Amino acid sequence: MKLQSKLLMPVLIGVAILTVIVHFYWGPSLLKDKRQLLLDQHSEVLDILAQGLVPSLLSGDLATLHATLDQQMVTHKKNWLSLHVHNSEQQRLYPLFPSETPEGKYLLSIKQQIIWNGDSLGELSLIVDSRSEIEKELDRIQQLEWVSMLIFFLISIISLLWQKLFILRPIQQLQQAAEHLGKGNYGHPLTVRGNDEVANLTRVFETMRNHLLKTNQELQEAAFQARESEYRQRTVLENIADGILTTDQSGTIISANPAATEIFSLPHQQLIGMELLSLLNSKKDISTSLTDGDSISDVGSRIEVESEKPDGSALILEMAYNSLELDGLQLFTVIVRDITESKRIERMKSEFVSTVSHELRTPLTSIRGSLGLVVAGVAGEIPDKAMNLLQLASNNVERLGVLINDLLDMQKIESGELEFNLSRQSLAQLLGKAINDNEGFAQQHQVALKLQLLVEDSTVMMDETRFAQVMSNLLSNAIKFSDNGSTVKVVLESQKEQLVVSVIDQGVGIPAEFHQKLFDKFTQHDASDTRSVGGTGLGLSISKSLVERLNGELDFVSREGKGTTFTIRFPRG
Amino acid sequence: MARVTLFLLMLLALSTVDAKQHTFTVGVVPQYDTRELHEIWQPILHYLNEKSGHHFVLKGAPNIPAFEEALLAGEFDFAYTNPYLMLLANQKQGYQPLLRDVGRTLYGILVVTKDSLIKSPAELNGKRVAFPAPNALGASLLMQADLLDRFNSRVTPRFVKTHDSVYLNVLLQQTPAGGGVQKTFKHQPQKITDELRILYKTREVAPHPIAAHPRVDVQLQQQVVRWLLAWGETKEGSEAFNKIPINRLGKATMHDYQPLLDMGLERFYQGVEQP
Repeated sequence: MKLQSKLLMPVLIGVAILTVIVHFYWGPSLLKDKRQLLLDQHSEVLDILAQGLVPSLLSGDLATLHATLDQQMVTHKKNWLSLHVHNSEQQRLYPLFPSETPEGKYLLSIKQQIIWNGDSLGELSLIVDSRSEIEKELDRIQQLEWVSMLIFFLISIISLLWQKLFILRPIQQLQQAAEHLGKGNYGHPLTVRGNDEVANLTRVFETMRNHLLKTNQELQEAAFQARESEYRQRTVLENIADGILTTDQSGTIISANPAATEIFSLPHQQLIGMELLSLLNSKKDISTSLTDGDSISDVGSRIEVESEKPDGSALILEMAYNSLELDGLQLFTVIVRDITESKRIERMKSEFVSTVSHELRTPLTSIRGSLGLVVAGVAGEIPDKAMNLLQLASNNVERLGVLINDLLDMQKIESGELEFNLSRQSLAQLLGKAINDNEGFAQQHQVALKLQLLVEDSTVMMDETRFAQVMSNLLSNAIKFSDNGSTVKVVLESQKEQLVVSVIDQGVGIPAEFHQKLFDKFTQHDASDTRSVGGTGLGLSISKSLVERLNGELDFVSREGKGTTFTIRFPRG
Repeated sequence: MARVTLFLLMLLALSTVDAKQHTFTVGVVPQYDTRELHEIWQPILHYLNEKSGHHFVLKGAPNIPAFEEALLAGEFDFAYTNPYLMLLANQKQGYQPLLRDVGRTLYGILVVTKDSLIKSPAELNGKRVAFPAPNALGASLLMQADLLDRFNSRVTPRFVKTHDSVYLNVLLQQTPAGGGVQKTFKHQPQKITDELRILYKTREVAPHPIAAHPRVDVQLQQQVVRWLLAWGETKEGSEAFNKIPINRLGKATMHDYQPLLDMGLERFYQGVEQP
């Protein structure tokens, strides 16, 4: 039902109710009252008439009685149909001859006793045709009904027009605006009049619409950005060399990018729905992470796992996984990288390095020994020029030996073959020993070494040999890059639960462009053949690896021309 | 001198006028209402005025008893009254009848319903009978006298004021019979007369006279008789008298009313005075 009809309904119902009330209650009530009024009026006339008839009845003067009643009948001829007088013995005294009692819907019958001194002399009976009066009353009632209906009709029309103007039209306007809004049109005109509830609703709607427009625009922008981002991500996912899988909490693969299908050599449809663990050989490392929601200790870290392609070829994967919650579900994102080739290459390289190092070391030892003996004069006196050459050769042999050792160390560290002998050590004592071991080198460069101990208890779990190797590297670097006469300080202090060793020099400092790659292999400030200081370029890389293997951190701060401070942190042991 | 003569002549003329014109009251028994009585009697009185040079004035009475009282008190110079009152007036005041209707007689009638089982007035013994007024001559006095004297019927009179009421009482069976007169009976609507029948007629008597009080000059009385008799012979006069009603005007004497004395009507008369 339309709103207009709904608004009109109460008025129509009111009209109907009023009509019913007028027709079935008020009208009949008025009619009843009219009848009663007529009865009362005629009763009053009869009463007076009855009193007037007393003398005639007493005296038997029926002529006067008849004359009187005839006159009354003439007077009331319009509506008096029948008038009878009976005496106390029920004998008819008037009219002269008996007549039929009229019958009809609108006839009123009135009787009046004729009393004289408490005795009944007779009875007056009157039948009145109240048709005209009743019909007049009915006409009046009908007029009332019509007038009421007309008034209500007018009220309805006015109400309808008013509602149309002030309620319906604004609501229709709102409806149209809402429909347009549903189709995406935010500009449908809205006219606001007044300050009533509908006007306020229109204002609120307009505000809402503007807000929706703004939100829609933002959403569109966000959607565009999301699409762009999704496109970029998809492009990245589809083109990234790493495989990206998503699994549910049970480890079932629910998505895989093209790189993942390529890595596992399985079609996408086959990959989806498989258990990730079924693709891997080493399950124990990640099974607890992927299947037990309470043990996700490996989440976020990279691990190496082995797998096997469908053709049986081996597959070594570097895998990192993270958990995420999406729509209340816990999922895992797994990034896999095929490091089979790089592993092979690394293994080959490592083997090569090891083989070459070992193969080089052996003759090198021999060469060093022989050169030492010759320089020592075991082979006789050596001319000065030859001695210089021999010294140069001896220095280079030493240098080769250090390089080979460094290479071997690096290979062991990278292959995980390097073993540490950990025991509780006093870091202060280890530092003192490091100072002593490098004192000679420092004196050669006219650099003073100074140890500053700012903590009493410096017990740590430490491999003495490897710590000495690290300190030797750091001190040698500090000495090499310090000016003559400067001091290299070594400070031991405590910071919270860590012991901090700082190697501080006021040397040339490290240029900013080398900061990022300082700990990379073979990185030196001056890689040319004519560089001023020696070194293989592996020292800091090895030192950082060793410190990290010893559960510590190695970092530095440096400013060119101002010096460098290397800082080693170890947890208290 | 001439002035004195003229003055004396004027006085004489005035005294002659005063001495000539009199006012005479004429009382009429109120058989009809006052307006009707005036309509009937005014032409007659007017004629008398012209003829006599006197002033004849109609004097009414509200009802018959009042008329009787006034008549017997001698208030009227001339009177038109019923025969029994004539007797009483003659005895009381000396009224003398001058003129009457010589073309008819006066009697009473006894009416019953047309299908009444009463066949004789004798059957009314002990019953109620309606009469107009107690002293209505024909309807009441003559009738009661005859019922008793001729039929030995002792009836209980019910005086219902008018002749019309008598007929209605009979028709509506309030009384088995009622006394009236032919004139009033004929005057009833046909629907009434069709339902009634006359059971009995009384003895007849001379009808109402026009009488004069003895104080009225006899010469004038005679003049009045002559004038009215003469006028009664004219069309105009005859029509006027018919309305009274007097069919044929003739002279009247006390002798005409003597039989009434023998009827013993005083037994039934309920008047102011008794003879």
